[in-house]
Amino acid sequence: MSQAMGIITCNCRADILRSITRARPMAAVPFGARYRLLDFMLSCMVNAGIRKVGIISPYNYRPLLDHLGSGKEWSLDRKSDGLFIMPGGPESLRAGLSHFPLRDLLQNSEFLYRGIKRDVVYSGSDFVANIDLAQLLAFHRDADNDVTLVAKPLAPDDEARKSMLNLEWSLEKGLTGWGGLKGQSDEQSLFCLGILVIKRDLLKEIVESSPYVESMDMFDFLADNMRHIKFGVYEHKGFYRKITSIDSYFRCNMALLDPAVRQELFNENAPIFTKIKDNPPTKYRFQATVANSLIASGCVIDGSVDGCVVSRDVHIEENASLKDCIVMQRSHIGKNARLENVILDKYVTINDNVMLKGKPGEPVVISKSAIV
Amino acid sequence: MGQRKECIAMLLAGGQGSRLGSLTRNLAKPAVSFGGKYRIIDFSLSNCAHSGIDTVGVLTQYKPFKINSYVSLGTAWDLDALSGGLSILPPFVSEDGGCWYKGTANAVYQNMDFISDHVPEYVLIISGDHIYRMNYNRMLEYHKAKKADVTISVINVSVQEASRFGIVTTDEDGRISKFTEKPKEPDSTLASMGVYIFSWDILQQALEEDNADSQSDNDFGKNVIPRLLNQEKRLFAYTFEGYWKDVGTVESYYNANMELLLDHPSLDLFASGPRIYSNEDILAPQYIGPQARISNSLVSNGCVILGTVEHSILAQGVVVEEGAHIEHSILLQNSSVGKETWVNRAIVGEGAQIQAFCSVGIQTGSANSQSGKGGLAGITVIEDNYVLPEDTLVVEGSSIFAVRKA
Repeated sequence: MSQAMGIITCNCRADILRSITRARPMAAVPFGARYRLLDFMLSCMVNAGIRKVGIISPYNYRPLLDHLGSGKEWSLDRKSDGLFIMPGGPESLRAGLSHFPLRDLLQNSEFLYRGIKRDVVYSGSDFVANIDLAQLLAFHRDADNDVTLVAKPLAPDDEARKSMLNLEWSLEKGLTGWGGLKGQSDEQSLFCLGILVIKRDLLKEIVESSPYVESMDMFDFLADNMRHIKFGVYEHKGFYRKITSIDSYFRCNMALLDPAVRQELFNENAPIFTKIKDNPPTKYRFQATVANSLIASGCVIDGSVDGCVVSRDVHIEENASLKDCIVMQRSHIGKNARLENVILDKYVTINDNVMLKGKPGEPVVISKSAIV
Repeated sequence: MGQRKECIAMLLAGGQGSRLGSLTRNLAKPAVSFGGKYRIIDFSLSNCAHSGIDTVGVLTQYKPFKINSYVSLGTAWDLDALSGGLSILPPFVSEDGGCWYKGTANAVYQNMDFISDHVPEYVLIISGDHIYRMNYNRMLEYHKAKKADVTISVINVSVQEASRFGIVTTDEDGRISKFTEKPKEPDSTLASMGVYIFSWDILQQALEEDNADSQSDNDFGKNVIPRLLNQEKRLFAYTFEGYWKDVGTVESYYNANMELLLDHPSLDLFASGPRIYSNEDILAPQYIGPQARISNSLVSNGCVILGTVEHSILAQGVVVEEGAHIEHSILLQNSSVGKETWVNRAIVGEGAQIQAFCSVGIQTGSANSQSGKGGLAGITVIEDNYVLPEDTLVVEGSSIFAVRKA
């Protein structure tokens, strides 16, 4: 049994994916043909033996709760511990650049006081990664850190840099601060991935400094108290993509077509769990020509699909052609339709003979339940 | 005493299905994979769930490990109910010894305590061996309307097939006058589906009498039903219209799977309405590679297809390497096919590996090859977890399995 508990904050800025996040919080954004973004961190926690996870939900939590249910698919429907859904405040959503608003934690401090766990894994839910948290927790404990930040160098042209904390860190001096939102530094500099481990006692201390900390972000508090806190930095070497725009969402989906990325994200020793829908296998009919695509179950495909990510229960009729598209569940694409660089949200109907073409880097987004 | 239930189900899942050969060498027939992601027992369990029957006893006996872990608490079929729910009922010992389940009726007889605990009015007896979608509630309504003691669900079969089943003869009102197991000259085409509803008091009495009869094979079709008819009990036939299949042989198993690939299959997995539930592993979506060609096939989660797949059914987690060519075949869970390997009209068992440059299902060209050896009608079967080494040639109709030491 893990000595850690988890908190995943889903109460973060959600206006960056246009119509995709009009209908749902970031954490509930469909990804990779059958997942929601939240599935990744939640599964990482479960795979590390964490059995107590609190989800800080935004006000538009319906899609999130619908997805999580009792937490059964993640084995979090337990008598002791398990899954806890906690309300977040509306203010946090507006604070566009905030990471872990403390207000949401204060409001739910009860969660911290129950039980005997030593550490808390605190994470956002707007990224895709499969991180071995057991290793992270061992590192944190062996070094007896108060706080361990998970970090990674990012390519200089990575747009995610703009929304991440640039750590001032060196082997000799350790962590000396973070440069905030400059996003202008060399290739080696580390960026915090929005995941940290913190001793529960320290987190309780933070909560107890209320109301002084009420409008602060956890990182502001940590920066203010830098001298009294023992920091560590843990470098995540594997795949990590933060979703920061339609373009990054699109590219991150397409990254799954790379076998090396799939190998790492969908490792059988650390599976990503998600809600089960009990749909049949996918049926490829006579005229199906499918290449380099990731396809979920329950689809019926009679057209051509190339370089696409297709979710559950999608119907693609004969002579329809899809190239470089993301199709979410239960969409229907009619005969002779031609789609290129398009993202279809759930329940979209594309009528026969319709042509839609987005530019590379600027996909066309068709919103939920639309009929085109 | 549990909460009182109007109708509970006893699901017979102990059969070996020996005519399925290598497919059931390591697991019971209800646990055999079907249609890509399902196992045969999914159909009767889903029927229970969709008919609102939330108390199901699953009687196991033959190689139960797979079925026990698969069925588990019944959660996947919404059968983890507050009261009742799903219980696995293996043979057990009691103060006077106890014994294996001797026949279908004996299996239920030995578990009469389980039934009485729920104080039901009716007991539904079903088998985990059949593939069908059925609302048992309609049959129960019929049973009540007819004030029947026993209702047997029947399906119309062709005259040629009739001698393979228990055949029922009825009067105009549906009351059964005659029941014959596998008649040579059937006088009706109404075949018993092995689905019975008994009023509980009648079942109790019938099982006691059956147990007292030392000549009995303790089988519902062979012994219990004929005895009740002799006693002039009210037995009625409920005619089921729909798809029902008992995949008893490798050939019928193969054909029933392949029928799913028709444009409008009789068993439409995609039909609207309640879905067939299954206890699936949560796997990644399937990936179809840049050079892959795939048509007229069913493919499940977790598959990686880099070669060619035509007119085939791929269960979860199957890997088809580059240059491999699969046609008219069924690849079960987690099996794999290596580079440049050709597989034709084969059933590849769970976890089996066919390595590179093999040819499986080679037609020998001789006149009798289509009829095949061992009744496989040209269908090649590779046992689960078998590793077929590189460059192996397998002639059609072969059954490939590991030789076991005594």
